[in-house]
This record gives sequence, structure tokens and C-alpha cells, in this order.
Amino acid sequence: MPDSNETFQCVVIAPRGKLLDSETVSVVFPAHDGQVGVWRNHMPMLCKLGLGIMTVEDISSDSQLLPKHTFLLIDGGFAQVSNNLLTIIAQDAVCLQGVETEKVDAILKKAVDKLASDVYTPQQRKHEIQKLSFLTKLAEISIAVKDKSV
Amino acid sequence: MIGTRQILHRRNAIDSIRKMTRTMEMISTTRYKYYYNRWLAARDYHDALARAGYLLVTSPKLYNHPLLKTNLSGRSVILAIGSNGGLCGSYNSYVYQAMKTHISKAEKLGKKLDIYAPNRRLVGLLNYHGITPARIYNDMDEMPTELQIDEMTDEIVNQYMAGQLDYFGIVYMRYYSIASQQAQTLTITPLAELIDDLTTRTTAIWPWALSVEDFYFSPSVTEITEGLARMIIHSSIQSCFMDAILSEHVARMIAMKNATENAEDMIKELTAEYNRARQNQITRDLLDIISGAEAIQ
Repeated sequence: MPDSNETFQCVVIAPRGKLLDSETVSVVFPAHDGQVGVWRNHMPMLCKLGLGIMTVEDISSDSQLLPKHTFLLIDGGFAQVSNNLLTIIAQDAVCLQGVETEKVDAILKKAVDKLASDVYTPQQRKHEIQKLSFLTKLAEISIAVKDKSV
Repeated sequence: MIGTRQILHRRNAIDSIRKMTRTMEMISTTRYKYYYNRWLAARDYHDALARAGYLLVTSPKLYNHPLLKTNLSGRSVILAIGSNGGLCGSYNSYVYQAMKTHISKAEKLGKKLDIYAPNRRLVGLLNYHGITPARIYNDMDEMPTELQIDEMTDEIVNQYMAGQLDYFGIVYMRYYSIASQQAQTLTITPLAELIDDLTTRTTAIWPWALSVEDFYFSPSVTEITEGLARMIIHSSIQSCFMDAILSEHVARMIAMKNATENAEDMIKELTAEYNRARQNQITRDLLDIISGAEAIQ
């Protein structure tokens, strides 16, 4: 387990509440222009977020070779780094780890049904299709992580 | 004198009303709990946005940003959020009272004031007072959808940045706790006023000794400001609707509780009256029988 002078705090906040608040060693999040990695003592930064999967390294992992990770889908918002605190203020964030497989299926089905309806404009639809592909990827990762832990 | 049958009819009618008001109270309690949990969960999000916003408005680099400057177009807009349904006491009257200050202020300064309102009970009250809203949102549910709030946000930001709007405020019932709600105005634009208001509500303004100059911005600070402003405005509109719906359910819970208690009192009185009338009728019947029997003897 890494000692405290290698870690920093990571908080993920979405409109529906706080999704994550933990000590971590490294985080990779989707910025507006590509992936950004954050380690301890990162310079103060305010960065616009894009759409993609965020990876948070879990410090409770004992193995150096196979560290545990938490995966989240992030869709827009801002990342703020200051004083060894990374705050992700996401417009929408989803974490499927620890969620029952049936519930994951229901979430995916709901997203597909919404996409099939006429609530979105062509531009929004393009974005939602991209989001659905990330959501599917996140579901696959979550199920793989679950199988590995079992 | 009212007969026993009429009293019974009346008692049954009031009992039906009691059942209805009790059910409405229960529905409002359930909805209140649902929205309260959402309101509680969203507090961290609003606080985090307000903190990031505070960092930006204190930046000397942004004095000339179109969202932070003062416009002089002479046009103000008020979004008035009334109750979704009836039977919630003086809810809409309080909102109307808060609106009146804006109306008289605009009249005094000779400014144009447009009133926007969701198609709810308040529109009827405004029409009664001879005020015609400039825009009525017809397809809004209890809580507007993300897309509807997005549209509203885009309109405000675009109009403000184009200099067509001086002021945008939301008049709503602010929810403090289950015991306290108050009709208030939240200024949305100018943005500096909104952030000032939001930061006074948060638990910590800016807890670090860092200023804008210490930060690396990606993309530029101007672009970040616009994006963050849209998010702050979006979340503020959403939180106003959330406060309004919470306050409405509290108001309805109280109104319906009082109505149920009143109905129960009336049922008690009518039961006593019914028993008295029934007793009188029995006494009268007995007297008739006794006097009839005596007459035969």
C-alpha cells in the first residue's frame, strides 16, 4: 500500500450527488482535448472535461503489478486541481462497479430506448450515440472486474 | 330542524372529503421525501460550482467578459415559479407579492419587464391582476427536463452576451427547511451577483490561498468562464425549481393536514348532532305511542 506522501484526494461530484471521495495515487480523466493524468503535487489547474472513461487507482490494492481501479463515465463539466485535491464537477457521471448485472442491463436498455425516441436533436443524438458506446464499454469493464473479484 | 337523514348525508360527504385530503397529504409527504433526497444529494454539486465560480469572478483578467459586464438595454426578465397544483394555501400569493416589487421597480425606472412563467396556477393569478406573461412554458412537468433547462440557459446566456438583457431573476419559494420557506428572488444575470449570492450560501467560499494567477487553464480562461457560467446558471435554475417543488409539497402537506383535522372535527360535531336528533326522534315516537295508548284507554 502506498504511503500518504504519494497520495492525494479525488472527489467526483455529479448533479445527483457525490459519486466518489477517496485517497488515490493516480487518476486519468477525459479532458476536452484528450486524456489527462494527475499525480500528487500536480500544479493548480482548471480544465474543461469531455466525454470518456475516468480511471482512479485504488490505494487499498496490495499488488504493485495489478492495482485495483475504479472506472467512471464522465460527460462534460470541469476538473479542478488545487492543494492535492482533484475535484471533478461532472455534468453527468456514471459508476457501474458494484451494481447488479440486471441493473446494468436496465441502465443500458433505458439509454438505448431514449436514443430510439425523438427527444434529441441530430447533434445531441451524435453525442448520445458516443456516450452509449462508452457506457457499454464501462459495463463490460465492470462485469470483467466483478468476475475477476469472484 | 334538519332530519337525521340529512345529517348522515352531510357526515358521509365530509368523510369523503377527509379521505381525499388525507390521501393528498400522504402523496405530498411521499413526493416531498423523494425531492428532499434529491435536493440533499445535489448540495455538494452546487457548492463545488459556486467555489469554482468564485475563483473566476475574483479574476482581474475577466472584467471585460460579456457575462460579467453590466448591460444597459433597459430590458429585464423575471421567471416566476408558481405552484403546480392547487390546495397549497397562500403559496402563489407569496410568490406574487415577491414579484410585485420587481413590477413596481421596473415601472419606477421606466424599464421593460418581461415575465416568464410555467403554465401553472400562478398564470391564473397574474391574469386576474391584469398581468400577461410574455412567455408561458406549456410543456413543463413538476421538474423541467435537462433539455428544457439547457434551452433556457442558452437563451439567457446568448441574450445577455448580445447585450439584449440587463437582468434575469427567478422568483420562487426558497426552501430552507421543513419549517421555513420564503418567497425570494435569485439573480441569475449579471453573473457576478449570482455567484455572490451562491457563495454566501455555501459552507466555504474559497478555502485555499490560491488565486486565478496560480492556475493553469485548459482551454483559455475566457472559454472556461463561459462554460462554467452555463453550468452554474443551469444548476441554479434547476435548484430554484427543486426548492419551489419542495416548498409546494410542504405547503400542501400543511394545508391538507389542517383540512383533514377540520373535517375530523366536523365529523365529530355532526355525529353528536346526529345522535341528538336520533334521540329526539325516538323520544318523540315514544311520546306519540304513549299518548296514543292513553287516549285509547
